[in-house]
Amino acid sequence: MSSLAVGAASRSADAAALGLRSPKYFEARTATRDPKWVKWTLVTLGVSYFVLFLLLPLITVFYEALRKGWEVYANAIIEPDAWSAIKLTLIAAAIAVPLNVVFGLAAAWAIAKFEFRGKQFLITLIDLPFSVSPVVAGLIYVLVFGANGWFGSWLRDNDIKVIFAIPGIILATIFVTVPFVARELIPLMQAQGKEEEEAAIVLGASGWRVFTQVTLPNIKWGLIYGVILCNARAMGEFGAVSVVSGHIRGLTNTMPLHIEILYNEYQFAAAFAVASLLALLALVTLVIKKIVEWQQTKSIAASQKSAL
Amino acid sequence: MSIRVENIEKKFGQFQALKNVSLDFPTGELVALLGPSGCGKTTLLRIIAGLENADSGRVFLDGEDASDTHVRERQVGFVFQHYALFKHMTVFDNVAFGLRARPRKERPVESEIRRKVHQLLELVQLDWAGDRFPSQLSGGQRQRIALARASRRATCFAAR
Ligand SMILES: Nc1ncnc2c1ncn2[C@@H]1O[C@H](COP(=O)(O)OP(=O)(O)O)[C@@H](O)[C@H]1O
Repeated sequence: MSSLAVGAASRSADAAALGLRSPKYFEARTATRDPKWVKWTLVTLGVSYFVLFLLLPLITVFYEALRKGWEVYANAIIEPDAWSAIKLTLIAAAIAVPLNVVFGLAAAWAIAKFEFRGKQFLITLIDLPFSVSPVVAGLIYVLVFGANGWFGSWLRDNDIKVIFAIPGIILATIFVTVPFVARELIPLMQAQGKEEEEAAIVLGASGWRVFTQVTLPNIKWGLIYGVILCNARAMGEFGAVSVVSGHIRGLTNTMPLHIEILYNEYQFAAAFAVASLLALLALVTLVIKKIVEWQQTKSIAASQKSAL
Repeated sequence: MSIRVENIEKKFGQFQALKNVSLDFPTGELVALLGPSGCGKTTLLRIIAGLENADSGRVFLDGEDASDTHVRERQVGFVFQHYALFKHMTVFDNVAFGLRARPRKERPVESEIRRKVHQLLELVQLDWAGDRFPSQLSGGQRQRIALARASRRATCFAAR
């Protein structure tokens, strides 16, 4: 029995060593080899498409931003209105992302580990921000919290401003980022089941201990991944935030909104300078994402390799 | 530890998994539950461990009614069907988990934990594997680790 298992394992080890599933092996076999021209046409097509539609615009942003020199660039960024837009963007993300983590964890936990009525409804609801246009999301908040909205008079009486103020921007940001962490964790936690948690409880562990020492390590990479994507969206959101912001300079403008204003005023160098910052954030996000993915495959590969 | 179950009933929705089950397992006895797949063996063991609630009936551990005792306090050892070892912990940490999870007052000091874990690992002849991860072991070795982890209270086994 055990020798049989060893045989099977070493066979799959050979397969892995040969890279049976990698394109290289696929290509090396005459049976599965495509003609050379097919390969190169496809590669050229794919690469030129991405260069044209992704890389070129990105390069343009940085090129335009720096065309009038570093001084113009620096001035555009340290200018008070730009600076306040950067700060507001960071504040909105700093509030939306942690909330998203807490809510996403709770929702994913509930969906993956418990049976309850309305579960399908909850899963569908979490996806709502993905399917509804951000503009509509913004309008909903205006309808609810605006001067003529449901809570409008109550808010006015209590001197609380939501729409055309920072709270509205934060609410809109939270709305559009709701799915990120939950979406990442639900399939992961569903696949893992709850056996490890049960084992920990039988061994006498408290709920907190089970969460921090068993659940959290198992979902670590998925969680980080969700946070990264959530953060990117929180900083880049335009539509929903645009509706509730009111575009008050130096007060309720986030980076994307500030860029649009500058652009509409023909201040191209300044617009591109701020845009390049946002693009830079996106690039940093991509790099971190890549590192996380790499760590993930590395840890999986390590556990597989040593298993043989 | 003796185990007694009385008139256990369990339904999953409309499906009757256990019907009027009464059994007595005296202290120190090795008992095997045999039956076709799906007849309710796992369900009964999960009820004894406290991972599942019976619709009616009682569970007695050492003569005391434990039906309403939390899983955590029941002090039963349980080897899961798929072992449920903690993937991200070494074999040593897996076996030490139960000792380290005890309330501070009852928790042995680290050197004592080490001694006990090594003892248990020796018992299942896997003392050499302490630094490995579960994925680095064969199925049978994993089962022995699950056994060692579950037996740290040396009370009772409810293996499959
Ligand atoms: N959580 C559950 N929900 C619905 N049905 C279940 C659940 N757990 C077990 N069952 C059903 O109860 C029956 C007994 O299951 P189980 O105790 O696992 O059987 P055994 O361990 O004897 O193979 C099976 O028919 C199974 O489909």
